[in-house]
This record gives sequence, structure tokens and C-alpha cells, in this order.
Amino acid sequence: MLSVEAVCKQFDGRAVLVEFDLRVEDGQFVCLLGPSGCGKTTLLKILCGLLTPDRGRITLNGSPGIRPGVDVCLVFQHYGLFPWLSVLDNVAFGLKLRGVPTADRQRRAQEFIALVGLAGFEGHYPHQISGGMQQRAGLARALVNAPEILLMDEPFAAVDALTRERLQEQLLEIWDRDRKTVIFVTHSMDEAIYLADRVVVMGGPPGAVMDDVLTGLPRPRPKGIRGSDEYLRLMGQLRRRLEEAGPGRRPEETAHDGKGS
Amino acid sequence: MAKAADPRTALPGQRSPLAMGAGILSPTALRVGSTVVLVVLWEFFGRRVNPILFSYPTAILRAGVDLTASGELPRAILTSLQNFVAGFALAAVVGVTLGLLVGRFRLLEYALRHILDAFYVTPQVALIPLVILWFGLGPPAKIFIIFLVGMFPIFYNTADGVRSLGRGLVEVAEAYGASERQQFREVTVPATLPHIMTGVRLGIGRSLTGMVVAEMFTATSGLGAITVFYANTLDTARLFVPVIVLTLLGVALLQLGLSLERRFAPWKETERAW
Ligand SMILES: Nc1ncnc2c1ncn2[C@@H]1O[C@H](COP(=O)(O)OP(=O)(O)O)[C@@H](O)[C@H]1O
Ligand SMILES: [Mg+2]
Repeated sequence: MLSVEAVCKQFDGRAVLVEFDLRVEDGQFVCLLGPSGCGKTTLLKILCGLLTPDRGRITLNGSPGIRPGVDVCLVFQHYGLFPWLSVLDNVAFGLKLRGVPTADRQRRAQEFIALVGLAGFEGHYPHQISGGMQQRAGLARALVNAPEILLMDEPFAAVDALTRERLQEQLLEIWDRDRKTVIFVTHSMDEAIYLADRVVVMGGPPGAVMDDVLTGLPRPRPKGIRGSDEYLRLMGQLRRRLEEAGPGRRPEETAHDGKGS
Repeated sequence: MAKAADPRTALPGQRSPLAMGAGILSPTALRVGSTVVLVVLWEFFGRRVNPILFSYPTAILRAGVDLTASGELPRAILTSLQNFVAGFALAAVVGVTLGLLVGRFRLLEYALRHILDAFYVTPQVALIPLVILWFGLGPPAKIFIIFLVGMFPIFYNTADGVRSLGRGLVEVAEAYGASERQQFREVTVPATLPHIMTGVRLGIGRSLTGMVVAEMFTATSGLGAITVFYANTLDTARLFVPVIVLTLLGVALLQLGLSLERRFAPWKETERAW
């Protein structure tokens, strides 16, 4: 279990996260949904060790030592692939850092390249493949490290709508193999409902939890689920919450009927 | 230097050679044609000028054959190239190392940058007499000059390249658990490679000039030295031989620099805002 307790973070005296709390069960697929600037990226960067919180505690299964690249891996919004490395070497990057021998890491990278459907492209460089393919390489680069928790920061925001839906389906298929914990940041309500077991609506800045919804939709997602009554009801609920989630708003100021997990 | 033009992508305002009528007028054909015209005109008018003041292609060719047969030209080329390779290799190693260090460590930049700036704005050829006092007239003096003038563009491009790197890709490495050292080796250095190669290309040109000036000044050996010798003996046709060899050498080295740049930064043209 991942536990974020009373985390505070400010930049140049401006509070981005204030007393932020979040608990995530093992194996849960959580979407963090919130308007731009409410502190979602800041939270993920704190979780993967890129930023240190000013105050508060973060523990994984009770222990505070979270190892970036091993316990948690982040998939970046703009892919963040290294342009001088082939797809194969990009995917093997984390293994290389940890001194895994070349043949071994290439074999493992190859396996995950195939898993995300990029077999045949391992020798390509990022600028030679499409955005959707780049992000699949980015996903493989994270998965190959077998992290406890996969962090994804608006990973599909930069691709076209059809590609995005294909990537979402593919992500769920991959996730379904071993159901590791995923924290997926998005500002799309549709994406959050389609992917997640649990949608945490964030408002701010400063970032705060406005609502916390267990969707309870069936898995694997049936075809046409996007048109179902339950789906549309969830969309309506999230929309109302998001409309209340502007800057400076705190959860106390809004009616709170969401049920946590 | 401009990239080789593609006939299908003429600049706006330029008419594509294909549009000018016959498809045989390719860029290569035009280049060869203009060169032939230039050489013929040079031959024609060059013959009418006092041979002490000027020369013409066939005379230069004859002089070139003589100088080659006597071994003088091959010897000079070899000496020049040896000095160039030694001096430029030194320039590359020192320039890249200094550039990476100064680009990365703020304190080093504060301590060294203004001193290096002062060296850079000093016309370095003005130091040649001093360098000769230190090293004598032999190869070490020339190697040092080649090193000195070639080092600066490499240093500056490397240091600026490191500093202009965004946080983005370094952060990616950090998020995958890279130590400071690994961030530097796996991200900073390869990401700076295109800038380093630009510095190398600029350094090649400056080192070549530095080499010729140093050889002319010391007048002991190398292509610059035989240029001075035949100028002093008023043998203008022979004077042109090393000059033309230097031109060809410059073109070859420039091409080498450009291909290094392309080779080590194939992504550069499509890179994102990282
Ligand atoms: N390194 C930083 N320095 C200063 N301000 C920052 C920095 N990173 C983020 N911020 C600010 O913190 C707020 C939250 O940013 P972010 O976490 O990126 O939001 P989100 O990902 O939800 O769009 C924004 O107002 C942003 O301007
Ligand atoms: Mg963000």
C-alpha cells in the first residue's frame, strides 16, 4: 500500500500541495483527475523522488525508502525518450543504470517491446516513429523495471483521439496481466472513467482531493461501455466536481458525498 | 555552408533548375559547368599577365607535377598533416573536457570563464612569436598554435551546449534512478554531442588557418613554408601549388566536420523542446 500523509509543497512561497493525503491499495488502478495547474505533476514528481516534499510522509508498505526506477517508474507526458538511443536502448535504460549485463537487458527489453506491440521497431530512433509509438516505448521503458507502482503523467494527452483510445485499451490489457498499482494522471473525465477502478478528483491549486469515486465498472471493459448509463452517470458526477475544482477551492466549501476507498 | 540543394525544393523566389527547361541542368551539372568556365577564363587571361604577378592552370599543374616528383610537395603535405592531426586532437580533447567541466560546475565557470574569454578575444596569432620563443621553430610550436586556435570554438560550443540543456531529459534519468554521475554520462554528454560536433567543425577551419600562419612564420617546413619560399623566389606558379592543396584540404576537412555533425546528431533536425 502506498500512503501519502500530510504532504506540503510550495514553489517560491506559493503553496501547490497543502496537507495532501492519499492512500492507494496494492493493485488498484487510480486516476487522478484535475484541472491544469492543480499540482498533479508535482505530486507524481514527489512520488518518484524528483521533488522532495517540504513536509509530510510518503511510505510504501510502511517503509519510507521508495527507490525511483525500481519501486516506482514514471511515464512522461512528452514521452521523454532519449533521441540518441534506439527504442531498444531507451527501453533498456533503467536496467543499464542498475548494471544488468548487455545481453540480458536487451533480451528483457525485447520482451517488453513486443508486449507493447513495437516488435520490429527496436532499432528505430524516437524521431523515426509516431507519437503513439513513442509513448508505447515510454511505457515499455517503465514496465521493464517491474515497478510496484506505475506512475503515468497525462501519457496520452499529446496523441490524436483515435490513437488515444487504442492506447487506453492496450494499457488495460497489459495492466490486466499482473494488476500492479497504477496512478494515472489525466484531465480527461472520459479517460479517467474508462481506465480506473477509482477516480480521485483534485482541485486547486493548492491541490486537494475534491472527490474520490470507486467506479465499479466491469472488467474487462465491454465494447460500447462508453455509452452505458452508469458511464454517463459517472461522467455527470465528475463534471460537477470538476466545475467546483477551480483555483483556491478547498473541499470544505463544497458538498461532499463522495465515498473514499 | 548551405546544404546540398535538392532541385525539387528550390527556395522561394528561386526558380527550380527543372523549371528552367531541360532536365539535364542538375545542380551537379551547373557546378561542373561553372568550374570549367572559370578555369578556362583563368587560363586565357592568366597567360596575358606577367608570370611573376600571377599564374594560370596549366603552369600550376606543371609546377605541381615537378614539386611532386621532387618529393617536396608530398613531404610538406605529410609534415602539415602530422602537425594538424596532433594539434587538433589535443584541441578536441582539451576543449571538450574543459567545456564539459565549465558547463557543468558553476564554480569552475565563475573561476575560469573570464580568463578563457580574455584568451579568446586576443588575436591568438599575435602569440606566435612568443610560442616560437618557447618551443623553437620545429613542430611543437606549430602543434601548439593549431591546438590553441582550434580549442576555443570546441570549448565554447561544448560549455554552451551543456548549459543550454533543459532539465527534461536529465529528470527522466533521475526518475529512473540515475546517480549524478550516471545523469552526466548517460544524458548530459550524449545530449551535448551535437554542440560538440559543431565546435569541432568550426575548430577545424580555425586550426587550418592557424597551421598555415604558423608555418609561414617559422618558414621551416610544411605547406605554409613552401608558399613563403616560392613567393620570395618569385616563382608564382609554384606558389599556387600549396595554396591549392590547402584549399582542397580545407574542403575535405569541412566535409568531414559536416558529416561528423550529421552522424552524431541524426535527431537534431526533428528534436523537440527538450
Ligand atoms: N519547478 C517549479 N517552480 C515553480 N513553480 C512550479 C514548479 N513546478 C510547478 N510549479 C507550479 O505549481 C503548480 C502546479 O503545477 P503542476 O503540478 O505541474 O500542475 P498540473 O500537473 O496539475 O497541471 C502550477 O501553478 C505550476 O506553475
Ligand atoms: Mg501536469
